[in-house]
Amino acid sequence: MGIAGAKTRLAEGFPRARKAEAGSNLWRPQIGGTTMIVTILYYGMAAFIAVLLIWNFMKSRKLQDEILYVIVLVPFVLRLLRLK
Amino acid sequence: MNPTVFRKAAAAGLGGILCILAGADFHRSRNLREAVVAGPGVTRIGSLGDYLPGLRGGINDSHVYVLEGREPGGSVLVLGGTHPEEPAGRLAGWILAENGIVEKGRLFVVITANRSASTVTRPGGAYPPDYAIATPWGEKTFRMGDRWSNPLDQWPDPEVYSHYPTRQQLAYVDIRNLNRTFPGRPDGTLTEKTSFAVMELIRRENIDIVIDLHEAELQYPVISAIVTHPKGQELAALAAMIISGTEGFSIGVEYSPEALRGLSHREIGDHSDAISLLLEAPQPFLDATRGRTTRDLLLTGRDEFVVRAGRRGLLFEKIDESGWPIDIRVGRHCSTILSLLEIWSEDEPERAVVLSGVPRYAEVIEKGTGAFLRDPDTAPADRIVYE
Repeated sequence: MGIAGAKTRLAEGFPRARKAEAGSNLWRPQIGGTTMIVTILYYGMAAFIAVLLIWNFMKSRKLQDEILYVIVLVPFVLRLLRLK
Repeated sequence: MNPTVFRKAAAAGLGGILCILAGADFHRSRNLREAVVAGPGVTRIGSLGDYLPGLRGGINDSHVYVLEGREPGGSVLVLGGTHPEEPAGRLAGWILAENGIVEKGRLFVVITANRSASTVTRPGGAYPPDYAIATPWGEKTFRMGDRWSNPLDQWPDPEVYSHYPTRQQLAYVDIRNLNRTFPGRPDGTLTEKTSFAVMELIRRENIDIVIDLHEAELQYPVISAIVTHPKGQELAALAAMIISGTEGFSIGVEYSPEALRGLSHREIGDHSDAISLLLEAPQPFLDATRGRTTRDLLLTGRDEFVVRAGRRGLLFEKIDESGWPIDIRVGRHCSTILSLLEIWSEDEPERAVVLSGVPRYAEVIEKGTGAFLRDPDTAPADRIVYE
């Protein structure tokens, strides 16, 4: 079908959308505070794990373990500092 | 010095160096400033926060560039950066904002719909943190992004993401995927709020057509296509025919499935008067079979392993040693947008949107994407904003 033939179909126009139904529950407000509380708890858990890692690092007597603790600690520090 | 103290200090020093180097890189990447020189056609610059106060001043209070014509007509919204890891969408939006002139109707352009996602890259994906486009006046650097909002802005993810309002269960990580949270809700997560703000823009501004710009891996079956809501099938089909016959590249049509919820091409059409379309261009950078994930791969689309996958019949789009350069991908988006507007305007003259000043596919390939990016150093200060 050439362009001219295709364009004759345009005479029918493009169908319009239906409006969002009035009275629908689409815009019902959700509980917002819970999300913030959960986020705070997760940062708290990250801090707790970081403290555990530092504590184990201080107790360790093997260089290999100390390096491991430090490397594992890096992402927790970056998250707590809100860098990554 | 006590050997134990020395050993621990050395290990701690190693960790400190890692933190400093990595942290500095992440901070620089998250805060990279990207200048937009509002072109002559931009009559005002708003933001998504204008449509949802809960976003105002936050990371996803993204700019909305409004180009208004002298004559009244229809309204079209172009969304770039829904997935910032797909740079052709943002770059096409940049070209529209910096060059477009609307003679009739209105054009709304959001260059970075999910700004949070543009400040992070894929964990474990080895993405480069940024990329640069060559321009006549030097290199312009852009943030590389991810598909999902930055966990610094929205965390933690649930075990299972239950889409609002359909309650369809999706992958947990897609609660941070802007293209899975439409239509959104005003008191939801950051990403849901962003979707809702876009929906409010569409409803309040009486948008006729929404065009969401994306790229896809070649192993993904929905590629090189216009994905259309049922309301837009005729428009998309005619555009695909005309583009494939006149623009120098082929593009297909895919129909928005009802079974998968949260996507712009489905939910925008279902929850507003607008026709919702989504454009996909090929981006080998996203393919799982790729080799090294470099800036070169991002901008040239050349990868021998993706080519090998193609030879084994594993891909849904052709690829050879010439790859899929960024200019081709950006040019495809530009021409497709222009064609859609032209066809729409011819059929709906009362709701026409007449746009000029934007290059087509052939011109973008000939001159390069950078030829259409303006130099902020020479632009009036009141015309410069930062993404």
